[in-house]
Amino acid sequence: MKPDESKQLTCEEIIALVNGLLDKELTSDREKLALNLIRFNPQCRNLFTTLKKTIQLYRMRRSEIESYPSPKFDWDQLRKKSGCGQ
Amino acid sequence: MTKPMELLQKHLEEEKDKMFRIAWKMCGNSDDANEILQETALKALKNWDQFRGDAQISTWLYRIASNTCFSRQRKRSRDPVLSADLAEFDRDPAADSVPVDWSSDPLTQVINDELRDHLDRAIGRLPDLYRIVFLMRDVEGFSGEQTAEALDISVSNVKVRLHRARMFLRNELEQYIRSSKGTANETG
Repeated sequence: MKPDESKQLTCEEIIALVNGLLDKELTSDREKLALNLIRFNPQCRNLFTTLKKTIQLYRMRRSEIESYPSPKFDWDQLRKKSGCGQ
Repeated sequence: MTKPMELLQKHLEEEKDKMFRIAWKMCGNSDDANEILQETALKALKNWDQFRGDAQISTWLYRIASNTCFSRQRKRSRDPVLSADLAEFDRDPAADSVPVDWSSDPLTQVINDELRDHLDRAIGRLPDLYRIVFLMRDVEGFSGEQTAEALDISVSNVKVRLHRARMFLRNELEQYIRSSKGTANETG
């Protein structure tokens, strides 16, 4: 893809390529197209890197919750309440 | 054939940590998350006989958990961003006039109290069905198909909601960085 070819892509195509790249769900041809898109188009590159960073920060936040003690089930109590017996 | 109750217990034990984290981010605190988890287990035990195996057991459990979350959320007064406003993010992302790459900004390198609050507040403003899609897909690593099945929506619906949620959170983060820098410039 030449530098100005991204202008020929529709809005839906650009969104699908950027999200597909984030999700690692693109075929090799589409991945090449997406990589060229973010290489030559600064707006798309910015979109991709900042979306990636946003996801990364929420994953870091998740790992903070992971350190919290694991919840427990009281199976006897739950079975009794549900009427399932022992 | 009667399905052994132990099979259900095994699945609940396997999924409980993930379910707890999603519930925590859905309702905002660990106590409510634990209540949702217990309620999910109780409903699953009560309805186990009616489970026909149309979906995987874990998918069925996430469907119960998400419905439990949604019904609790409806009782709470929140001020979420409107779904119609999120549709704004379907416009051309390459049309933004000023590209700003803040992904390497020092403010985003370490999660401190301020950033943590901001991340939690931003995700808390998303409508329930957008928030849970983002949490399941991007944070917990469910596939599009698993997410769609658990939430009883189509895969394309998952994709649309995920894109809008990502864009909203990204923009909120950008605003936070801009305002933090503005404050620093004023005081510095």
